[in-house]
Amino acid sequence: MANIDFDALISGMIKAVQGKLTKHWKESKPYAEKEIRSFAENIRLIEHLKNTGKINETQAKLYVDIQKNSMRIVLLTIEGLGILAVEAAINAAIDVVRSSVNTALGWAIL
Amino acid sequence: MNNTLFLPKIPWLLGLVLIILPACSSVKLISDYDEITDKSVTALQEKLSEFFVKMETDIGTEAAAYTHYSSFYQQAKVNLATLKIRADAIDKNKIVQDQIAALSIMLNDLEELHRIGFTNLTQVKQLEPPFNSAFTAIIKLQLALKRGEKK
Repeated sequence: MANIDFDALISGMIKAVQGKLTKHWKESKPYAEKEIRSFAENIRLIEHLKNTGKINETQAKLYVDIQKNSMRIVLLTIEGLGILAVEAAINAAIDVVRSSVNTALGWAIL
Repeated sequence: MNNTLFLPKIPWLLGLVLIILPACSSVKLISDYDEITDKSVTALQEKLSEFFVKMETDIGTEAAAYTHYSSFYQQAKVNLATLKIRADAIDKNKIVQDQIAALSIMLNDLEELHRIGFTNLTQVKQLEPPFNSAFTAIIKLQLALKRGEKK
């Protein structure tokens, strides 16, 4: 059975995530890369446990499922941080015009 | 002078504001920080940490068997169910809801692995980093949701 090329696995995954997180890649990169390396490390350990007869297919699937959901939780945090950044930008834009608009209208609507 | 510059733009700005700000002075796209969620997730993280420490001691002995840990799983599931209800009750909290759902799957998978049986330390050690990453990410988001408070 062929061995897994972990360097290719990591770079392929990073490229795929980068493609999806284009706009937020700069901020997301450290978290995403850490998770991907952890995922690859998990696969490496599964390979080791399989080769030493310490794990079966059902167990391997459960390990991968745990890792996938962990990665999902991390990516959800990245998404949340992105939304917070957008929210802060919109509110900063409103702050800039608040006084002018409120004064011009005579109503404190902002 | 600024007012003069802004006057022609006011109808457009007002329209935008009325669309995105129905009744508040700032835009909120995601839920606020929730102290109960933060504390509950932290408490659950402590339970999982205790679990891993205990398993590392018990592994290879009868004490590591699933039956000795069933109350841990029951309690953790109760905590997660409470967290889910809390998360569902908060507006604009879809991300946290999804995080709690993913954490529940992780716990169910852990329980299933334990039922099958842990026979060596590597099997257990391998599980700790993904749980740590998940808890860190959930808490990191909660702290970020404090917004201005965090500074």
